[in-house]
Amino acid sequence: MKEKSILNHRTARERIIFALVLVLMIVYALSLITPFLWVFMSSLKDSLEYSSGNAFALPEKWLFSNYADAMDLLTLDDGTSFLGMIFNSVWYTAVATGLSVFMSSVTGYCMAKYTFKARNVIYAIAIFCMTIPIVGNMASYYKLIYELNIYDTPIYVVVTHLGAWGFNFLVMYATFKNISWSYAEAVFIDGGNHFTVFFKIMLPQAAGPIATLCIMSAIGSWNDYMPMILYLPSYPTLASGLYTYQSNAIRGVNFPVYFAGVIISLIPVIVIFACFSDLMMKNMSVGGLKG
Amino acid sequence: MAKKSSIKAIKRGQTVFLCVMLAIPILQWFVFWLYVNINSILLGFQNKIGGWTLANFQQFFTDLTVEGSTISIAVKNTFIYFFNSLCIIMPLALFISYFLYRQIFGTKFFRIVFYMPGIISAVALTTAYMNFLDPVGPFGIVCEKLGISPIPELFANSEYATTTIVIYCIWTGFGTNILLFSGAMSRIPLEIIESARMDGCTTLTEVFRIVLPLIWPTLSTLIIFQCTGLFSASGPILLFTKGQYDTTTIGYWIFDMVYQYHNYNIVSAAGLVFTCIGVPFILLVRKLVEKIPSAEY
Repeated sequence: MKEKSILNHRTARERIIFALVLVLMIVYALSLITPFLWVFMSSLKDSLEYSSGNAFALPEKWLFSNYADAMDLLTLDDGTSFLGMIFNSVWYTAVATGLSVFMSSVTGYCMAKYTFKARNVIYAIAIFCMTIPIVGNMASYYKLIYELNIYDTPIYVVVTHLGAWGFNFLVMYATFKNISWSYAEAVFIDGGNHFTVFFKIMLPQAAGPIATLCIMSAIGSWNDYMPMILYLPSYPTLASGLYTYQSNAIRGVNFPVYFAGVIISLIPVIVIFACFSDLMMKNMSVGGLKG
Repeated sequence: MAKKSSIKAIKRGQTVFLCVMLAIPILQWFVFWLYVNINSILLGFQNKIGGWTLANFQQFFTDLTVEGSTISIAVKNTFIYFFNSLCIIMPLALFISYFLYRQIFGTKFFRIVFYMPGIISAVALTTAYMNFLDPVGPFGIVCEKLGISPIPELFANSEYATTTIVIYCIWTGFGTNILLFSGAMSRIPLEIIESARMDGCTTLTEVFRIVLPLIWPTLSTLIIFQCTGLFSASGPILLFTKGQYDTTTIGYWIFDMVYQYHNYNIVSAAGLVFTCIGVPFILLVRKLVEKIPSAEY
């Protein structure tokens, strides 16, 4: 309750400022919500009504069938159906999230809990790579993907998510630094080995930050479109597929059905966010990048 | 004796464990970071068939100095986006975060709504924004009602297109910033605020003397990250205009050269030049940022 009283207490001048800011915030919130309400409303219209009717009017008939139509009609030129895109989104998100979070847990743990000869060098390189601004290596990367014969194969997703030295690494490193090593010693006395310590003791203790990273990474992967356009053209996900669908068929896009597809693509992200927003907001912090 | 051998076993187990666990991430780094970047430098000095040349750099600098060339427009726009995120979006996000921290009426609602653009896919956001601003969409109707004619084509016009995308970036750009700033502010010990209030400190003093110094570690990290992304900072050009109407940025130009034209060498050469400018810049920024002491609490 103390928290409330201090932060809520306002002087007379502050009250005026807060009222003005509140108005601005309401305007900004409305500007965020309105276009999506409009897209949702338009997704229920008949395509003729959408293109010729009043853009602000409510639908004459609420065509929820547009959502079923989205499943049939939103098919790409290469034959990928809407369900196919959903399938691609699901496996891409699962593989990318699982691998990248697991690998950064591994590196974060090894670097935080063990002292070995190469440790400081590896840590310094990891920080160094994160902070130098490299531009234009996309060409070299693209060539490499071709040369490794993983262009347009699911293996691309696996191989490129085995890297573990970015932002997630820092989070996991900080997490494991704060977990006591005495649990590990207890395991060694009981005859357990280093793998037992990591998988049975340490990973479960880091469950909170791991879950947060998984959620963030899953949302990011679900929304990814660049990797599919560049490296996985045969595996369009919802995000990249909807983009391709709209940009390839400028004329003849049934916009209400397309909007229905867009809304469907948002559902998983919004559900995840609604369930875990508290967790995300609690566990997010960056700071103190020293290298 | 038994104890010694068991310690040895644990030590040996450690080596095995580390080798097994770190082999893949380290190998991955060698291939996808070290090899990629070394090869990128080499590509900059090669022609299409692999012969050594400086022609890529010559071409790049010639293009750069020609007024209105794609690359000069890209550089100009990239600076606009960079300036926008550092000097407009970040201060505004701080402003919003402070009022959320002070629990302005409706904080819970605002927090969720303002964070939404951070989780909704860029494809969906741009679809909503573009169709909303379409001349035959809601924006067109409003213009018509206001008697504006002809209705501006905000995306298909060199005069407006970049500004329209910059506004989009501001509109959607607060999400993650607000999340991180709010997190940092929520960790400020309330006793500090409380005692400052007792000493009669004003709102401005509270913001500049207490809140900002205490969240400086978060703020400075974000500033450094922002500056690291200087040359890759670019709006979602692909989703809006595909670089038409003078909207291209360095990031988009690189994508276009690789994806459409498979012109790897010029991209690598240009990238090398930008990296050589970027590295001293970021080192300078870090030096300056570290000069400002952060408050310990």
